[in-house]
Amino acid sequence: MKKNSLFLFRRIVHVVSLFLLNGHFKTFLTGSLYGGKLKNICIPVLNCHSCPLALTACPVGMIQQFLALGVKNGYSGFLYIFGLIGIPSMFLGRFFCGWICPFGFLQELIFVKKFKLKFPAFLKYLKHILFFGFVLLFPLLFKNNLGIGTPTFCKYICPAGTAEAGFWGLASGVGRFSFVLFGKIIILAAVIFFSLRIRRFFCRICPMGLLLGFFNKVSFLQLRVNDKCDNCGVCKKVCPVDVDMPRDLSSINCIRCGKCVDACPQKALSLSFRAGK
Amino acid sequence: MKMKNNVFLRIVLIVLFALFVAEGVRKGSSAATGGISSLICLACMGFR
Repeated sequence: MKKNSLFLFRRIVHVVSLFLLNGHFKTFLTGSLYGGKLKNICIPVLNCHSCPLALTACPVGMIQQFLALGVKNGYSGFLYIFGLIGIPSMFLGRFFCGWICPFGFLQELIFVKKFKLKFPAFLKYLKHILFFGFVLLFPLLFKNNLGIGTPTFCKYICPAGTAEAGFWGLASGVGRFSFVLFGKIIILAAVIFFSLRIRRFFCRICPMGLLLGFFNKVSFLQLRVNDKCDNCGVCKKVCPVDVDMPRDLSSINCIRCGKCVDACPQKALSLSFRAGK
Repeated sequence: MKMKNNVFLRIVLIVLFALFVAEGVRKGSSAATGGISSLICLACMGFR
């Protein structure tokens, strides 16, 4: 395999999937959101369904929306979304983060190697707080007068929602500038700032990434190392999310981007569906 | 034996997730997903 062949292929997949997920160009004429059958499904990436270009539903948003309806009313919807995430993830694990996610793609494009910073260790468990707190627990707890919960991650945190839907909402007059939106813009600015200096910054704290990361342990697609490995450390150096390669091959942080596979001078690493080592 | 167990576990999980999806479709959750995600979500935009 030629050097960087996976990288080039991944770039093509990123661009194609960006347009496949956000191909509702009719919105430029109508100004409306897409409302067809594709919105019945979600692809396990962070892509806000309130973006006027979005063709599919956001899994993180839909989990919160169904939980906000309460356990009794929302459980089948929650299971439906969980199933839609689980089936492809059983085959591919966090492949979606590395190859499909538009927000991950954006972060890769804006990263400047010259200003590189180390990811702060104290933020290691922020993704757990975001997922178990803001995505799963708080929408169940914080309810309005009608007894409907709040999608707290979407409302207070999600930088993808701010970038894809918030600014459009402001420009089109759907909503007015508010304190909550101001806070979200600050979060988006911080995420962009740190993404310039830390590779895949948001992917390391992404709640969707955490959920997909658990599937890295059991998915059919696995990173594998053969006995040609001489522990030179190149794979660890090129890893965009600082996985302890080649020891922690099924780490929940691995986004299956294949950079290590491309970089390995011994060609000891592979990303494959084979059942054995 | 371990490999066989792993494959078996994976197949069980895939079937379980497929049942979740089937149950969701049966109860109209797929249509609800389409309905909810086609509406402008003011929370996503940070307006409420």
